[in-house]
Amino acid sequence: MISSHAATPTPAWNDRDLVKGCLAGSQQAWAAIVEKYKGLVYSVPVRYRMAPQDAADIFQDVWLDLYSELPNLREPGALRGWLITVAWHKCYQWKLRRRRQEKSTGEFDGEPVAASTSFLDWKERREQEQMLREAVTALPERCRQMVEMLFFRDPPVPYADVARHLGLAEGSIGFIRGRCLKKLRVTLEQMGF
Amino acid sequence: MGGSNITDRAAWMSKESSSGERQPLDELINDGCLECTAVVDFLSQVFALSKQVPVPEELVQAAIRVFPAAPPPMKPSSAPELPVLAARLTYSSLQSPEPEGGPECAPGDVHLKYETGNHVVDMRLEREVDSPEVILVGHIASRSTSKAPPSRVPVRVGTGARTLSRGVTDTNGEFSLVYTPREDLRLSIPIAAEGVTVEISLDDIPGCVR
Repeated sequence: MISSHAATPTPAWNDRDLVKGCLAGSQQAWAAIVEKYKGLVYSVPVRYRMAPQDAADIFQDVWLDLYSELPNLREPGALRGWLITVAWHKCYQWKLRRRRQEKSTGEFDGEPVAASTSFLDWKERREQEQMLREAVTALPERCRQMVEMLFFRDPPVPYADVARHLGLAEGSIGFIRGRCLKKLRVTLEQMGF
Repeated sequence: MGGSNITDRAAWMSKESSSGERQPLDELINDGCLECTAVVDFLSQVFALSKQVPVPEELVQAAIRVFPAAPPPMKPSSAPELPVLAARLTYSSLQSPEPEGGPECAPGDVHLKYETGNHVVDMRLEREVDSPEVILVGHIASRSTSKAPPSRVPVRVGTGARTLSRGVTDTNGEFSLVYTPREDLRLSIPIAAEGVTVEISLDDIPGCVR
């Protein structure tokens, strides 16, 4: 039920409610879906080692398809899998086109990524990654910031900077990091990870 | 050090432990400590995900702008039924070699070509070894080379009123669907702009095993 949430749609809403919000004309619900799944959708062309412009085209195309298909989604709760499949299909088409073009000019430079991987295994892996993104987002604010700073930045933020940013003693970072990772793991288990 | 201490594991994964500190964990994992392996697998995923490229903000904003002020168009089920043109099979890689100039068919793929009215539908079917599902990658084009392929057209695999899989063609007329084969399956492509539905029977197509 939409009424069980905060008034404004957020990425924390479940997919069924976000889709329902979109169908009711809520741009905020749409923005929340984009925010929730942007990393997932973009990760697919990146895994195909696409150039940034090609990856951008695929990314945009997936959202156009979702917009067209919103009223027809048979199971809005399966949006995650739908997005993965559509993004994969688009990349697969891109790969076929590229292979044809490059073979005709003799420039084909190797097999595409994941050519030997079963689609279902590949899809399951992407679903797990998305669960991980959602679980990190669902962490308490301090934990989320810490996990992002320590694991999701390249290069990782030094302990001293993390401690300063979060107002913690540097010596306690390791302990708190462990607690945050435990929370992350529990959240993931609850999500069926 | 406890075998399941996630703090130590995080340090181990992030390579900040000295080799002396890493040794007990390495030994536990090598001895088949299931919980250790599970924790390390989990942390591996955290680290693997962290290496992904961030999404450029301008792309996110462009995606948000896809949604206009008005809600999306309602279900096409309310649209009038279009006359059906049944397509006929004109090529199957199971029966003959690839047509010259056509895309190369990898071993195990089934490549099929259908024609009807003004349209040609090119399809590849793949079946995963351990899965009942078939991946259908298709392309619909106009027979007239000067005419653009049908883009943003719904594509559906189903039996009777039941839909098993659906999608939309892209700007090149290409589409992909994943479905589980069963009897009396049909691929339908309603092209409203031309007032017809192109339909292909998917019975008796074995798919392929990779």
